[in-house]
Amino acid sequence: MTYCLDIPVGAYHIITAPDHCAWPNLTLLPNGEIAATIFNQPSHGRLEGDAELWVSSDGGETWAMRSQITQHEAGTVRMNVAAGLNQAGELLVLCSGWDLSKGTAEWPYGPCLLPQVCLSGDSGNTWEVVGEVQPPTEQGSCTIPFGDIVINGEELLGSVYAGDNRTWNQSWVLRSKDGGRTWGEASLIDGDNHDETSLLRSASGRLLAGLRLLQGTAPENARSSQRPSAPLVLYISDDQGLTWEPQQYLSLPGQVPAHLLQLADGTILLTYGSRIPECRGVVGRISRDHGQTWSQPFTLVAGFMPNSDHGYPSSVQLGDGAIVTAYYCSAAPWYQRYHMGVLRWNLEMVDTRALGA
Amino acid sequence: MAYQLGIPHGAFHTVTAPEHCAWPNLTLLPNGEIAAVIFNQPSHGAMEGDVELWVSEDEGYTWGMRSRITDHEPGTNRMNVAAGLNQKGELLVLCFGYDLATDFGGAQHSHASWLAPQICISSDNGHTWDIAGEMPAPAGLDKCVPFGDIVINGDELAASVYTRDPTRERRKKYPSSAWLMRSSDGGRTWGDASLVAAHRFGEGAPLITRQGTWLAALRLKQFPADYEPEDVMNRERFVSGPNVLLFASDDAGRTWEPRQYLSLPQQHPAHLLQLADDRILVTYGNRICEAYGVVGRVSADGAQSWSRPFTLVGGLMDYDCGYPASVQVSNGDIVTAYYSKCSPWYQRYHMGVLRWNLDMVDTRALGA
Repeated sequence: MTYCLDIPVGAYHIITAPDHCAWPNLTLLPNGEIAATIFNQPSHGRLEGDAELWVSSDGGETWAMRSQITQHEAGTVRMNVAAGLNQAGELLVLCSGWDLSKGTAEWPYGPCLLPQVCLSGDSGNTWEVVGEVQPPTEQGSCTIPFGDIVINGEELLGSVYAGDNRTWNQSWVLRSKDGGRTWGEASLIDGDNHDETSLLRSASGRLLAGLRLLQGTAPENARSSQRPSAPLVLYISDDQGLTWEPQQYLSLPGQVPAHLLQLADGTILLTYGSRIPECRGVVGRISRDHGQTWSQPFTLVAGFMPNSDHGYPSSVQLGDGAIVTAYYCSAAPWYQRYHMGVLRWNLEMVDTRALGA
Repeated sequence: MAYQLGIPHGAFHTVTAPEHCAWPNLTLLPNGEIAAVIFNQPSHGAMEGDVELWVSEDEGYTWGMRSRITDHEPGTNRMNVAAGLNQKGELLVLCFGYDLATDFGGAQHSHASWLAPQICISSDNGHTWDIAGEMPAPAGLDKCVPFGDIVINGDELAASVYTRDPTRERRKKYPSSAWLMRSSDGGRTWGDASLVAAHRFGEGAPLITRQGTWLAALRLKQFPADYEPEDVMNRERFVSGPNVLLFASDDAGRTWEPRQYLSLPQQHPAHLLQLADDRILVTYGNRICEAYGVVGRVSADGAQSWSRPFTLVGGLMDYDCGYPASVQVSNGDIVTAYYSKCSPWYQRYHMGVLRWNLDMVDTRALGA
């Protein structure tokens, strides 16, 4: 039987972090290394585990674990992260989790754990837990960070989604004015039917957010994998994130979540997972007009196995213009266990024409 | 761009041993673990390095390094191996290497400075190793290179080696010959060599079937008339001719007769394994351009006839690949390991592992 691995012509691909359901978040460190904050267990959060830092010192070609970021308590897991640099170049990770020991047959994860604020002043070699992120709303205690922490002048912005323990559906932006040690001053992006949100502050100062839309109403006892599939929707703020306006859908249903990155030439790159059957992989689109219009989707990675658990891409751009995109997958034909895949590519390798062109 | 990975439908495939030009040799340990003896550098032998033992405790699904078997001296490497169990269940590795510092000319080693194989023995499933001595070459020859599985024949062990003639002039005419060496003390000393084939043969995969047939699948080195042995690594790429030739012996390996070609040109080297149902599996690397990977065939009549070739792994990106080795695990599945310098999904040196069974492939006879 012939399986296909579909990647851009000329792209470099590698597998790393074996047995990690990685959900990677990439950060380009000040010294040029690429840091990947990933979950360290071969399970979609159903095993006790922690966030680890894996690093590439050669532009994404090889990877190695540098440190364990969190130290989960017995019966719990630390897995959902937002990550990025603060103004001092320190690496920040906000990491929430679940109290698995209180899980039920209906909801095995148990209640949410508040995000820990993890800070490293030495490129991720050592970590300090400096506090917790409090919920942005009194309407629920569940607060889950996601995506990149972005620098917005003297403050930092991070996204969380929040709500009751099993019905989180609000997307928020939190702020920190002390280099990420404390967080507050929440602004609501959308209060209904959205969760994982990727933030980007473009060079123009405009804030963009790619939100995962929780389409439809799931049955009360439905697990997340049984929920109706949903697309991504783009929101924009021109007032430093205080108010947000929905713009357009960015993907098809079943293609989530998003990552946004502004490239050196001003182009905005969107990547997202594709869980559409027969089109399982990672997809990209670009915008050359600050998010107003977007290219046709192009495949970055495809060929994962049916029923596999995958996606959650995250990208950085290197000094030579190459883009490094990491994703996770539980079963690809070539590596049929949880792992992190890494693609090094550039825009000349893909078709970035406008839709319909 | 869509690259293709050709593996049997339903097979499990994984990648392990990153940055290892593995050339794997698999051994099923007495406790059911699978041991893979592999070279530990991302280079086709042009770097200092050693052989390591990687082990799967779950019949091929996951792998981890257990030990480093050899400890090379500066300026040398240890890379070519034969491996297997002795009668006591001890793990044996015969490991050859090169003196890189003495005579190394660029990207490819010249084979001019051979090191005698070390005899490495582990009595604790590869956690620790003793060096019991060095393996001599067949009488009158220089050094020898072990390859393939060490096989048990009653109270003795047998291992395949290939050699070169020590004189340059003779090497032009008889560049390489394949031999069988014996040990009567559990692998601690070796000798009593029998010539399998002279002139142009290299890596040989031995097998003694449960029916008592001795087989050896030899890599046939095809050379042009103006062959220069110091350039063997490059010359091989430009010649044609079948690359695996099966030999058989009816006198316990004392004399050998060629039986048939098993592969096409650029398909080598081979590994032989008798399965639980007595069928014989041959696997070999496929270095035909645009078809890089691993191929298999089976024989249900004691190696008299063979099935059509079937692809076990296809779609690799570089000529530097192959060297499969296989074991059969408890449920009848076959675990086959190989190495690759560059695959679309893992574009650096690594070991690939396939877990599969014969029901997944087309084992009909040629022309059926």
